[in-house]
Amino acid sequence: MPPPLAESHFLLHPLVPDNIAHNVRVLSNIRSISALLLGIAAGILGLESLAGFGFYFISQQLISSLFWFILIENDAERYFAGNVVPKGSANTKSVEGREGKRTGAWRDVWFGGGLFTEGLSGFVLGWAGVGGVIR
Amino acid sequence: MSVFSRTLLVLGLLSLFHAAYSAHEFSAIATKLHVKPDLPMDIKLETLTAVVLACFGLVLGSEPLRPIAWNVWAGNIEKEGGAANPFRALEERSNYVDIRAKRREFAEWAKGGGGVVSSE
Repeated sequence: MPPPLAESHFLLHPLVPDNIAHNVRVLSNIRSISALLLGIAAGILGLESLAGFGFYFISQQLISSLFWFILIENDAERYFAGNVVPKGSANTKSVEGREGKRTGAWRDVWFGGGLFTEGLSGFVLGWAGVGGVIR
Repeated sequence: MSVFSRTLLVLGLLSLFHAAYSAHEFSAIATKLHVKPDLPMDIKLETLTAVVLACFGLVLGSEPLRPIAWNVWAGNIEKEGGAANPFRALEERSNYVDIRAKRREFAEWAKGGGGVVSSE
């Protein structure tokens, strides 16, 4: 039985775990610090309920685009793992179909780095704290 | 972190603090006068500019990313050499040093006046 696609792909094209962890850490650092700043800004602006969360997600996407064009330079697969899909057709009998390629690393950039976890909680902390102190 | 990005970050933080103080003063006066107007436009603009500046500084000043594919990363290590190489212990084994060759190299270097040699 041939090994699963992802496994054989990583045997042929190994990745450096330290560097993956380093890149994810850089992204989540940016996200958590900027989320706190965004929370303070939302508190100053006096945003409420959905407007505040909308502000958070839109601003984080702007930060993602800065990250994408300044640090990644439009080549996400170079810095983030993504997942393995069959190269060419899905026919696993052909060599091409068995080899596979990495794709979908953009998800790690635009939605990763703790966007919904650490970032969001930092944002709510800054938002509620500053909003309460100022008014 | 370069000077430029740090300046942006500090400028953004100071400006954000200033906007927060302005908003606080405004709300204190508004409470005293028993009116509830919107925040003035200049405070809003200052807040948004401050946060954009700070985020820009943050992204510019973050550590450079490292390529994750082993072949790309190994190429970088080869180019830079030195301590980053994880196989350095294998490549430079003192037990296998060719001491005669090293001696000859040194003699030539000493004869040539002992200047700086470009490593080849």
